[in-house]
Amino acid sequence: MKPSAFDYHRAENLQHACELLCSSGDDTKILAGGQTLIAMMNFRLARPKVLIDISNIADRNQILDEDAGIRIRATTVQRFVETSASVRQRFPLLCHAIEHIAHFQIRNKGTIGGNLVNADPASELPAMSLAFDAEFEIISVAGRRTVPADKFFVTYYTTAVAPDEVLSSIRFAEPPQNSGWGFHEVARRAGDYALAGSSAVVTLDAAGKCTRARIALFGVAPTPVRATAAEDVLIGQAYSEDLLKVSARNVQSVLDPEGDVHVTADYRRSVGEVLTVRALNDAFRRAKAVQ
Amino acid sequence: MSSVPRMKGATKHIGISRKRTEDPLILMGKAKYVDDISLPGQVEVAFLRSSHAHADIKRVNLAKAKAHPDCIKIVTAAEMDGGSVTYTDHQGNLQPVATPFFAGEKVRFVGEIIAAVVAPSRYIAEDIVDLIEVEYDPLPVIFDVEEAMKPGAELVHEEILGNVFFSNIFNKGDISKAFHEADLIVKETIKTGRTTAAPMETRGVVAHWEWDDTLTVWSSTQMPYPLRTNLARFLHFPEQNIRVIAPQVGGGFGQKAHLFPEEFILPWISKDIRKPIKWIEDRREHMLAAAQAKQQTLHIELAMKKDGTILGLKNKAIGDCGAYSMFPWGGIIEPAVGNTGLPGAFNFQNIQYESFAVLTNKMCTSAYRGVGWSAAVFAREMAVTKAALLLKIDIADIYYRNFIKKDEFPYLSATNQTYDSGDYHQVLDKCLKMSDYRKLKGQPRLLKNGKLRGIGISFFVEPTAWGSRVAEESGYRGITTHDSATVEMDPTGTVTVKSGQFGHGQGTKTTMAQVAAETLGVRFQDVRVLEGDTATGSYGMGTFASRSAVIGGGTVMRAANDVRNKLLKIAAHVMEANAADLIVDEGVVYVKGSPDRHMTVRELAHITYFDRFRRPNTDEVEPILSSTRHYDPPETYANGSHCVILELDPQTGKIDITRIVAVEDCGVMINPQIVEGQMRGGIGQGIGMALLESLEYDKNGQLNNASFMDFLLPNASTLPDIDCAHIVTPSPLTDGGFKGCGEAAMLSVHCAFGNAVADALSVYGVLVPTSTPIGPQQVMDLIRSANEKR
Repeated sequence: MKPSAFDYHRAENLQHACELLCSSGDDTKILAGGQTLIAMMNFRLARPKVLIDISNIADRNQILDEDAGIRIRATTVQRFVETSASVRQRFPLLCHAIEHIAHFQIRNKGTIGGNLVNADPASELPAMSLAFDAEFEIISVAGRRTVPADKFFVTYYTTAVAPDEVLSSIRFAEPPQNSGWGFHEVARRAGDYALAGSSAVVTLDAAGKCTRARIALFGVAPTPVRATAAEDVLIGQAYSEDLLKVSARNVQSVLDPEGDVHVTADYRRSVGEVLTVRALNDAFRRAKAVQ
Repeated sequence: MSSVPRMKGATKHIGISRKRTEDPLILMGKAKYVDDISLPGQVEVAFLRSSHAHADIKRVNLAKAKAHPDCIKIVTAAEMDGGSVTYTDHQGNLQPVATPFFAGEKVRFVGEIIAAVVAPSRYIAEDIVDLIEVEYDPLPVIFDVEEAMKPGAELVHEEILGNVFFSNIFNKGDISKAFHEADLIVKETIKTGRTTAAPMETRGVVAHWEWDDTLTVWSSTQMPYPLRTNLARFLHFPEQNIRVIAPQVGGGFGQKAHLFPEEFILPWISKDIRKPIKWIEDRREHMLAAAQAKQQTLHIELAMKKDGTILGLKNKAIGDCGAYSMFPWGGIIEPAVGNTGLPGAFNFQNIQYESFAVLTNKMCTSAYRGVGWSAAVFAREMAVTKAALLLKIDIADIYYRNFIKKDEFPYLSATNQTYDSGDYHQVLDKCLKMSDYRKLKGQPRLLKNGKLRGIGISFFVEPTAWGSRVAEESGYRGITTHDSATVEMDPTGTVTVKSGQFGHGQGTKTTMAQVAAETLGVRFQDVRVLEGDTATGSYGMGTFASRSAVIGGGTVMRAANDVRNKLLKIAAHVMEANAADLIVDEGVVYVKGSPDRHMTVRELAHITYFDRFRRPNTDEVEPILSSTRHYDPPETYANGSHCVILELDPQTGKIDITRIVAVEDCGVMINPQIVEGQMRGGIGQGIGMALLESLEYDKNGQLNNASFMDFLLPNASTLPDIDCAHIVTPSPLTDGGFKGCGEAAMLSVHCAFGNAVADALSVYGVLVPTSTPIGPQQVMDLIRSANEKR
């Protein structure tokens, strides 16, 4: 469990990282927090010839309050976001989800961008990007482009970021007023990747009817998935136990889980639905409470 | 002294919860482990390990690897001349399965060593390993024990027919009558998961051959002396020139009570290349190639009367022993040793068991805390749990009805284990009371949060003091153990204990000092214990199998008693008193009834060594305050009980532990806090075995979770509040009345979990877990099976 030999470059800024990417061949990896990559290298499952370290750039931790949203620099460590008072106030679901990423020691090193680009479908943050209509800003020497969350995740551990590109920042859109959230996952131990998880944001009108909904699941398909069919069921409806059950049943159309050493694919299907009911329950309760 | 907690009946030193003298170095990060040994000119080893579970090796091409500019040496089976270690038993019905140092023409499990690469650093050594080309010719993989036993099955070793290298049958009482007379017969097939001890420190070896033909070996082992002797045997090296040092060892749990190929390869290479050499096992290697444990298939049958009386038990235990039989315990430690523990605290006398040790293309299973008993008692308890649910009798009442009573000791169990003492009913009473068992059992299982509460109970009897006698009663007839200690009083009256035991977490440096101080009548801080180094110790088998408190305690007590008697003889001469009238207390010798007539031990020791005018004639009393004593104790059996309270989510199968209560009777406790450490540590590992841990080999013999990412150990957040309590029934047989306490929860708490899960699921019917670990999938499968029945 020692990595094979590699060249190491420390980027001064993300633009510099892009330049280094251009000049250093295909077997190059960006090193952000290293919480996945270094382990993969120690197992020699990843053998990059070159590492470009972006963990020492100036102002690496940055959260910008924007109109109706926040923009988080990709290099920001997860713990920085988790402990931000402003994020906690405006995006309590995001903070709550980040608390479920591994353990705080890991969140002190692991970055928001690293987690998203790693694109583990069982990870919490990718699903959050769906729940908050996130936009991914990606840069290269050629310029910058923006990719919406529903186009960002391609399949297991694969994103829209090309080999010569670097994820620069992520913008999370703030849900409307009168919104509530819910988040449930099952992991075998605290800090493990979820066997399955579901999150919901619902917005209610004055009459308590749902005007907007986001349901995003993780650990149940090759990418995080947004369950729009389940969301549609809720629109115009007021809370009822049956409504939530019907909605949650509709997540099945987007689930495409696999079995592993822990549970079967069927388990993930069934628990994904169960957790969606629970997430919706909490979301409706919280939305009512803010009315 | 006043701040140190004392147990009831504590004497000056025994029974006192002293802080461990080992701890400052460990807590300050200053303890030296094998990896902290670094010698000038030291080189490192990385192993090429098989990527196939079963294959002929057609060719190993070393050309590219040897061409690497930093390659110092590559060793394969050819170079080390087919060396192997073989476990041979003393019963005659075990077919020896040699464990080769290197795989030669065939590999038999993923992780088996094919070559050792020596390079200046581990990094480079791993680069060179990658350059070795192995041509495998894959063979069918033997994955399942019952398939392996079928006629015509592929063989792991050509000479072991049917892949069974050990089997036995045991009968006592009238088993057919018991089953004939039964009102209820429960039959279950239980499959226990394959797990591993996973000590925090992996294995590691540093070997240093020097030009005076001496060999020093540092190893993360539990048994330095047996390693020394077997290095001499299997490497044909003079034993007097070998020094084995087990420095600080970061946990062993039985796993390091074996002799591994790596421990022979490193010394051999060191001599060959004339350099100090190091290998530190990485976690992936550890998961693949350090001893594994617990995987058995058990066909259990229980015969019971309507009133809950147990009439008899049948079991067929099949151990999935992996590809070889590890030295020195052999694969029989799972099925055959396990079967000996079937009766537990129960008084039934009709039993029939069969044991089969079966070869498969996996890493070997061997000793790990609780050994084969963990699986056997789980099978028994799940059968008893099912019977209790079917008969609608609380399992606690089945315990009360069937347990051996305190006036029945000594009691010969159904498997011929001689239980010396105990009060099982009192221990059970205490556990039920502390956990509020009866009250909780009377409440609804469904809680307001939608979860199901489960309450489970279990009870264990633990064979301890692993000397010749208890080894025999556990299935190792003919094993002779050698354990000794030397107690020396120094010229300044301080005391050095040189022990063949070797603590690696057990706190023996503290407890053995407590025993020596108590016996000698000196201050605790005036005693130092040396262990873990064959140059400074006294021959012993090491620390494992709940043996050190009894055997270490006994050897130290005997030797210290000799020294005390000698000191008093000298004191009687010097003080002109009768030796029988002298008392030693905290380093001062008094004449009984005349407290002003006293001398310090320090003065007396000085006189003994240096004052030939005042000491007795040296022809009568040699002027040395030292004794070496041996102790091979009679068998003694500890006992205890666990109660587990948990909440189970019936929609996800997730189990959250609310509380665990543990009551233990291990006789006289030398240090109650250390006993509680054993209780809690065992519970931690028991939780792992019950709920989390399973090494998942697939049908190709690949280990699919060879990292801590997917092989789940309990972590801090898994552990609940644990309440510990003690009952003290001194052993009537052992010196000091001590019993061991090392296995404890690993013989019990997983059963309480199974029992608690069955209790939580009782809202659906009679659903009893039949496999470990009981993960969310197993729970959901149980619930689904109930729904299908409806």
